[in-house]
Amino acid sequence: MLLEATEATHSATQAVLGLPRGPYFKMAEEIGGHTLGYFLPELIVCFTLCLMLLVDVSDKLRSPRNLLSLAFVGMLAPLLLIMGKWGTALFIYPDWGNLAEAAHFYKNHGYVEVAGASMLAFDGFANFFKIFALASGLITLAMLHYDRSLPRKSFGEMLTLVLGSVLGMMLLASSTNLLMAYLSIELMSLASFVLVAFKRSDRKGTEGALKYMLFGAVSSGVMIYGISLLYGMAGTLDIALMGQRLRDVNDPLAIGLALLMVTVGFGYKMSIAPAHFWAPDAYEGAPTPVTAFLSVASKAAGFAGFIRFMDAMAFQSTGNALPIINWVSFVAVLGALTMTIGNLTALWQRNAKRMLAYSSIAHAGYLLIGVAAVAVGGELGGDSGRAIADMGASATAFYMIAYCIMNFGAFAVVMAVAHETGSEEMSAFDGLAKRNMGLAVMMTILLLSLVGIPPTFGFLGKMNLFIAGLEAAKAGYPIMAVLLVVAAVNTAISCYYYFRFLRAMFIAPGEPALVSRPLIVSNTGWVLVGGSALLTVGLFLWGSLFTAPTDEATMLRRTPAPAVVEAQDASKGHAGHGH
Amino acid sequence: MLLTLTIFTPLLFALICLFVRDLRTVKLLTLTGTLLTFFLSLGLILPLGSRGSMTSLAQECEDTGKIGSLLAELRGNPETRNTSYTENLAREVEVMQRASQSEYSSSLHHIEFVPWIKSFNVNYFLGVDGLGVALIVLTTFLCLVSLGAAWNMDKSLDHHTHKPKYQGMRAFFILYLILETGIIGVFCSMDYLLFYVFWEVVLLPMYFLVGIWGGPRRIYAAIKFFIYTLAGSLLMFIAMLYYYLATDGGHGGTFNVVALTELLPRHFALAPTAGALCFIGLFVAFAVKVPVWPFHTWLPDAHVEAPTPISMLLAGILLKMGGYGLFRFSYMFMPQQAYDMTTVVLVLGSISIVYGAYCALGQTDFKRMVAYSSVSHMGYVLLGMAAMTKLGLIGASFQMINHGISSPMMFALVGVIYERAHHRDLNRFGGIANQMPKYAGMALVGFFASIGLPGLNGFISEALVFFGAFQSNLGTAGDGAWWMVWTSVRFWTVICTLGIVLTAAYLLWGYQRVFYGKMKDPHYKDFKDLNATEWATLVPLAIFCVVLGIFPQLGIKYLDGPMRVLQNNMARHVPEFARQIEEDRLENLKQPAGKEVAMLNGVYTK
Repeated sequence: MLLEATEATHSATQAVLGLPRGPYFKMAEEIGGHTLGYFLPELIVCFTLCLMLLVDVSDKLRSPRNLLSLAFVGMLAPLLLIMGKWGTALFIYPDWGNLAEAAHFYKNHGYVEVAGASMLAFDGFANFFKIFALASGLITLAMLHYDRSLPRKSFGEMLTLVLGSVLGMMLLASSTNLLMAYLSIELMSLASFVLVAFKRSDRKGTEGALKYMLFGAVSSGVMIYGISLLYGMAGTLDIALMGQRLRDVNDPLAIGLALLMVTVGFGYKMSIAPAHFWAPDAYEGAPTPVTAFLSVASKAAGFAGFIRFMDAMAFQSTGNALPIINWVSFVAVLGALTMTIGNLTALWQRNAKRMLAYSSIAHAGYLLIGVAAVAVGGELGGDSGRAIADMGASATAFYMIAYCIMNFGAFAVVMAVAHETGSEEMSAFDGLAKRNMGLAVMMTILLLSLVGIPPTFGFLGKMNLFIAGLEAAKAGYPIMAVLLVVAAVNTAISCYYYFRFLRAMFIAPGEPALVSRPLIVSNTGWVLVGGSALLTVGLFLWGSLFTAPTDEATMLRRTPAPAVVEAQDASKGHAGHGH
Repeated sequence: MLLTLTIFTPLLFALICLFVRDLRTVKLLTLTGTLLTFFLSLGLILPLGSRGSMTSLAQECEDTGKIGSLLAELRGNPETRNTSYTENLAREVEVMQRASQSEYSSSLHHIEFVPWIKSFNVNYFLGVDGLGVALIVLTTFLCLVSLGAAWNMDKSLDHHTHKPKYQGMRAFFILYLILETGIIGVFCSMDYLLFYVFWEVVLLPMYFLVGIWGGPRRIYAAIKFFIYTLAGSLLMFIAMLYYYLATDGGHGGTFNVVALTELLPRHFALAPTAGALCFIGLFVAFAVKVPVWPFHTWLPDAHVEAPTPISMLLAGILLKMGGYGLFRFSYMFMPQQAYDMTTVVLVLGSISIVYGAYCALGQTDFKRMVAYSSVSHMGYVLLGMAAMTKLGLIGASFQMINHGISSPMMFALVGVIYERAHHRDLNRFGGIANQMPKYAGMALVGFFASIGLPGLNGFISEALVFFGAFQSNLGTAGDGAWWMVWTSVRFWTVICTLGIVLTAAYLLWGYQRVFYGKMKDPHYKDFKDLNATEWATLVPLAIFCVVLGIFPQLGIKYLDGPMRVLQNNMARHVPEFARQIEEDRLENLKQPAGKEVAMLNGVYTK
């Protein structure tokens, strides 16, 4: 709608002003460095971050309320800017002709070509994940506001770190350059290490953060090594160009090894097996809002980076190219492994947060079904392959939205219970239905959604993933069918531990002294819990709502940016055929 | 509209109950709700009441017309004209129109069609044929009757502590009503996704009803029930999505059951492997519910631990969801695969019959014995289904109704004695007949209906199944080697007669141990005979046992149509089956008077 509107306006203004109408990338070159406008959302986050540090120094200004509002505006504004895609351009350059050309190009190609932006892609895929990161950030703010156990004194630092982490996620979502991707991962990781250990006196938190950091250090080391190998073979760091170049390199072992190493880096962020070992400790030790933030936003960003990377490496990789990594089998096996390990380990947990941590590992496994479908699409190539890849990407995006809502909601319930009982153990949930029926019912809805049982949004999400997976299986990949059966079995297993909550809340008698006292939830708590539970059911009933944003996630720029190609050609020309 | 009302009236009352604190009011509201639903469901019978052809083409055309006008509206609007949804709807209408000439869709009534999730072509599509109506009426009837068993649960005291045994009964009635909504929805959804949604909606209330108000091992039983069913339904889920993709013509597939019945058999003719896998997936999903050996192990636990009214619903209706699914989906969508797997279905059904009865014979727990009898009785449904003869199919579907009446009655009887004795050990009873003569009399009806005594309902359906199965030539390997006889329906029918003997044995032996002989405990002297609510529970069930035993047409006339559709559908898509039916028909013509017709004269008139 917006695009059409702008186009209509464009033709009107064109008639009045007589503006020229040429191919967009030319115009982009004309306006040269001014394309910074597309970077505006990130800039706003960046600016807010700096402002926050300044405000935090002033004793007068640094009330939690001020800081929260500042962070809120600093994330809401970019969110709105991206949602109204063209608002970005509009804000800086009210140049209607330029805008309409950009809109036109976006409509046809799913991305805007911005001159000079050789490291970032402004495509629908990036937009989706940026919106996702910002929205999760906003929910996290609400949860931080709700969490009374956090030291209010250092609230500013905490919010700054969240903003920094969100910035890293936004950058990762649009990085088309491996170095850029690496730096974005580092940015978000460093912020989250500190977030995990935020309660300095808490031993569990410190332990979790240390594990998180050690794992992070190792995996980013492995990743950068892999990147350097890939650079050595392809002569470029641009992901799309690298994918094309690697097809001509006849060294499958080295390529396979290097790709595996880079995958380790992304896998660590996605917390997929076998790179998941940090997750339970970090999630258990971190303050609950941070746990929710990490398990949703950080994971999603990891998936964004991985999908972009894998899509470029798998796309059109037919013939004998890249024989070591058969992406489809590789991702499918990782998915099956991740969901099985996550679920089986969750069965034995006694701590609610830790259980949800393992469940979030399992959900990463489900998400990999969509990613595997993207890999299938890439391997098939052509229009049919493209269609499957699109299905995979949009299913992953769809499930992420569902996962975001239900996981934040579940963690909010854990918080509400922990506030009152001071414990995050499963036993704290005993007899919850008698203490607060509303909370118990909301939690039931959220848990049903996590299992994937109708009538909840999680069911639709799982259905989307399964449809994508089946479509891929139908295209001649029996391993996808196996993956789906594993996922189905896992869903049945998962209902055992999710239902522990139900058992505790509704069936267990609980301590008589506790049970007689009603559990009070503050207004923010109700907004968080009730909002997510209602959304979970409501979006099931109006499930079509979310196809537009998830279709956006299929718009992945698959060609190298013109600037990159030009620069590469130039350097090749200079170097001649020396190597 | 009537169907929507029937489905959601219980839910509405559940919502009202949420805001009522007083337990007595909640009870009365629940009673009003179930009563209203029962009358609404009786309304469903009306257009089906006429004998002979059950089609009312006028209604069908009118309903297709409704979709047609929606389509015209969409096409008239420039914004929606070229969307894929409009194209899909056009295709849907085309399929519906084509299918509305088919027997299947003309047997559907009370059709409601509202678009729902447009991106997946999911519609709120309801409709019932005779099978659906029969099961819905059974559901609303049982929900009403079981309420009698639940009525005084809050007053029952724990044997040892003398405190109220069941607490939070308000929630019990709310969940009870939600459960009813889910079950009715299952029996009338004509959109597969909608069906799946209702199917799962049934699970959760049941989990709580067993888990909170059940016996000592309730938590284990509840979660076992849940996981078994969920694992099965996930297989169904995958198959369902496969159907959706298989019917994809470029704009997404369909979940419309009528359309799927038209399209899928043709698709699976080209993709036999996928067809076999889908059939197995669906079969397991429904077999868990039925339950068929070896998927039955959740049943004894769940039935024994559940409180009496819930056991009644479990045995009476939830098991029928499985049978209904096999009839409606497995056999209609994949006739060729069903035909190929006849022997598998047959063998599993026969094992269920004999094994279930054998296990029941070994039980000392009264309730556990009744639970195993369910496994055995539901085996007849599979036997009749596998035979695929007209009598067999009608017997199988009628057996679902009859078991839905006699088995809840048995559970209600167990509940009566358990309430007084606080144990269910068959070996510790004795001499109850002297003390509670009225109870013993009612129990006689229930026991004999279960055994299948002529004149009571169980006899008719079991006899029909046996006649039908013995008629069947399926799997005989005809001119094949003699040792292939084990694949034939006839061979297994003979084996299944063993089940009848065992059934009579365990039930009569059980009756003897409870009601006759010496009173083994002096406490039994204090037992009072049936009270008002117990009468209210048992009498309607007993009446139905007798009425359906004497006038089986009352039930059969609704089942005849759908079963004919099922058989014709298979004949249309499976050439060998069509040939066999034709041969049988010629064979029957040769005989001066078909033997079975003579035998069933007065029982089944057609």
